[in-house]
Amino acid sequence: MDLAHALHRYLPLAASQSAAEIDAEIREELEYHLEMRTDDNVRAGMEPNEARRDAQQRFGDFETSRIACRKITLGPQLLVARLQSALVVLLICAVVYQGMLLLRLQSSSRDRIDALTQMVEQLQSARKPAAAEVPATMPYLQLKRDSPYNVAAGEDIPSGDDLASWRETGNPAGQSWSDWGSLDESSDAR
Amino acid sequence: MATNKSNKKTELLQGTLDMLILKTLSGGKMHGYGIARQIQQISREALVVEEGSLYPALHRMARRGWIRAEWGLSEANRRAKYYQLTPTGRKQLAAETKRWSRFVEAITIVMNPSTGEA
Repeated sequence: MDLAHALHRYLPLAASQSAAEIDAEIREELEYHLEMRTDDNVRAGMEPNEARRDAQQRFGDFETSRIACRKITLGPQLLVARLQSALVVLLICAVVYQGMLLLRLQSSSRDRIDALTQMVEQLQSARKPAAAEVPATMPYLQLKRDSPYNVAAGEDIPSGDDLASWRETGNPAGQSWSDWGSLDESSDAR
Repeated sequence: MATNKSNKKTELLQGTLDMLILKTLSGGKMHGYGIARQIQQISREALVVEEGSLYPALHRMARRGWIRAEWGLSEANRRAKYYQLTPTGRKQLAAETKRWSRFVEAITIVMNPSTGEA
C-alpha cells in the first residue's frame, strides 16, 4: 500500500475526493452497468422496456449495491470524519467553558481589587491625623521640648533681620550652631 | 422464462467471487460489466453472478489493494470505471488458486474415496 493510498484511507481531510464526488461516481458506475446490459439486451432483440427490466432483474437491488459500495469506500473515512467532528465540537465547548471561567474570574478579581482599594483608602485616611501629631524630624537634630531654640510646629524659621533678632533673643549667647549642645546644658542648668 | 433459465445455473460458492474476479482481471483491465459478462461467457452461462453484488466485491478488493480502479473511455466511447490487477492482487490470485485446488482435491477424495487411495 503506497503513501497516497494510506493517506486517503485513514485521513479523510487528505483525501482528494469529497463524499459527494465518490457517491456520484458509484452511481455513475452502477448506471453504466445497467445501460450496457440494456443495450446488449436490445441488440439481442428485446424491446427497450423489457431490456431495461431484465437488466434491473439481473442486477438486483440497485440501492443495496450502491449503499454497500459507499460503505466500503467511505467507511473508515466517515468514521474518522465523525471522530474529527466530535473532537472539534469538544474543543469548541472547552474553549467556551474556559472563556466563561475567565470572565467570572476577572469580575471577581475586579470586586476584590475594589474592596482592597477601599480598604487602603480607609487606612490612609485613618492614618493622616496621627502623622500630623508626630512631625517627622531627624532624631539627631531634635531639640529638647523646653529648649528656647525650639521652633513650634507650623512656625516659620526666621531668616534675614528676623534671624539676627532671633539670635539676639533666642540665642543670647551668640554662639555658633556647633555649640548648641552646651547651650542646652546651660538652659537645663537654668 | 428467466426462472427456467436460472434453474440450470449454479450460484457462486461463498468466497469464490473474489477469485473469479481476480482471474478475469489477470487478462487485462476491464470494467464491472465486462467482468460480469466474461464470467458468464467463460462458464457458458453456467455461473450466475447477481450483477449488483459484483460492485461491492470490486470496491472491497480495491480497498485491500488487490485491484486498482481508474476512469477511462469504453468501447462505446462512454466514461467507465476500469479495474486492473496490482502486484498484491496477483499474489492473492496465486494463493486463492492454490487454496481452490486443495479444496477441489479434498472434495474429490470425499466423493470418490477409491481415487484418493490410489
